[in-house]
Amino acid sequence: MSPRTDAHGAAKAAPIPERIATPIVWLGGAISALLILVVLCLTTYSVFMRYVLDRPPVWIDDLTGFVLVALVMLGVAEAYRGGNHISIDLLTGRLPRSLRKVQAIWSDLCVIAFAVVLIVSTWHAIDFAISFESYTSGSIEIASWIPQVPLLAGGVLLALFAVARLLGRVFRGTQ
Amino acid sequence: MTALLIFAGLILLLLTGIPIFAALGLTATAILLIFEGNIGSVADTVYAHLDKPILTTIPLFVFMANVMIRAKVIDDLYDMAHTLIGHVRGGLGVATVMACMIFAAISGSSVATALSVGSSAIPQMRRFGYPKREALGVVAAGGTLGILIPPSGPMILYAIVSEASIGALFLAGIIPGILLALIFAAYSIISAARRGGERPPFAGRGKIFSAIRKSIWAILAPPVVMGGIYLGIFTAAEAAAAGSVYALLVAVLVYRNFGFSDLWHCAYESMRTSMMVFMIIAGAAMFGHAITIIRLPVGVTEMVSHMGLGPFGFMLAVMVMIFIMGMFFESVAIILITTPILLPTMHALDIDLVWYGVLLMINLELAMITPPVGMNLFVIKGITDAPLSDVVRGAFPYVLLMVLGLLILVLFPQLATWLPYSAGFGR
Repeated sequence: MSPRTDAHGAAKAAPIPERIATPIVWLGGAISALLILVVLCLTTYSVFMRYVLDRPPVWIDDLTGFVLVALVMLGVAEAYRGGNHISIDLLTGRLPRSLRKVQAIWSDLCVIAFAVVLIVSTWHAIDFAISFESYTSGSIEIASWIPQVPLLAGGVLLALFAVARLLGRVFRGTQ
Repeated sequence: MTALLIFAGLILLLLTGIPIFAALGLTATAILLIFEGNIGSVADTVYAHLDKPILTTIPLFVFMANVMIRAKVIDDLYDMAHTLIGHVRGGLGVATVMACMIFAAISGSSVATALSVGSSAIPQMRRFGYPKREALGVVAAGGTLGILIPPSGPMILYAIVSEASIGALFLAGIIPGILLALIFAAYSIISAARRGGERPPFAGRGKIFSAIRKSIWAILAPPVVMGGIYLGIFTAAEAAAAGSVYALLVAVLVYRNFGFSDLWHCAYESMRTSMMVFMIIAGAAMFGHAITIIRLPVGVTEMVSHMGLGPFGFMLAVMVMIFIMGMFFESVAIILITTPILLPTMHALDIDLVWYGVLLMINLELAMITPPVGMNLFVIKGITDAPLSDVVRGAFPYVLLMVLGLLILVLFPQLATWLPYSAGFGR
């Protein structure tokens, strides 16, 4: 279990900012991958309890929801690092080499902007939930800001890696 | 006018090659800032759309397929189909379609289907004198069955956005999927009969029995998943978990080639694949929220009612629009952008959401083999090194056949709706 250094991630050949950000982002991805197995276990446990022991656990759906949000947000930056987020390259695929770099920088800036929107909005939501002292509804009652924290973490991880990649591109360009 | 500006902005942003999720999210942010003056609702919207347990079907079905592929459980599928039916005239084409159907029912992905079946089927067909374009075309088209035959990732997405039942949609895809496969197979037999040429000898009962025995664990996977849903034992998410457990048991106990490192590999790859879909869901949630605030879907409904299109005319217009969009955009994006906008109109015109879902899937299948952006065309080009023009020409007859299938489904909705409604799913 270690950060991938293949063609997608290219951590070994990557510029210094990316190399610094990679282990943090990879850790998020690794937790996300583990959470897939957790979701599998939770769902299987739920079926087992319902059909074998006739005691369906009512809290499973709520917990699965919390885990899902964490799973998505912790993995988003690692998928970005691996080039898994699709884009439409109908026009950009035909750009000359010099313009491709400009396009890549534009793409990084857009991802950073998206991450900032997510961070700012989640910060407000968490701040409001804390000041309002609200709790989640359903069978698991916890402070409602807690399940929102992964959104913040996801935004930060995405911004971190996008900034690192952007710096790497600019840094490479000056050499 | 506002709608046109929004779409022009979104399409422009998408064409600059930024990730789809970012294009959707940033368009939504611009709308919210212009019309609301703040982005405070973004986090709650994203959270509310990702917090749904039904979304576990996405990583779990991907995980199931990854385990089956990693443990080589499905490696023998094409051999089985080819041994069974290869000796019939056009049989290798039919075997390819058959293998695609079974693989689709396991993987839920068109690209994975074309990739896996194509790498064994194309060389075999070429060996027995199939014209190159024909061999490329049948795999490209057969692969698209992945999004119609359940479990299907795009179907899950459509169900989540439209709030139609996933179980009903899965069942609704079975008959149209088989119908399309039969149309493809019939075309393969007819074109082989016209062409003549060599065909493999009958393999013999012993070999057929041995081939079926080798691939039996793969063949049993779809009944485990769909049987559970059909009999009302599992929800879709539970069926995905059951399928994953089944795949793990087969890999560990039967094939005995699956260790902890494989488990980790499958979980990690499933995370990467699912993340692409999840983030588009997040972006589309923001976009859907923003356009709802400015009442854009209601505006579309009012426009359609002013035009007096009626359900049939509306469906025809939508199908043409999605066909055109499909030439340029990825299927996940098409589902998540168009569905929230069209949904109120479909409700107003009393259009069956399950039926529409099946038509949408067939249209998206078409999108996968129509240039300039057709994922399966690129996959086939990638595994064969054939010129893209050959793949496009090879797939062209199947585009026409799919349009035929689409028309049959438009005229006879019961082909899609009979199975789910007879199984007890309500509209």
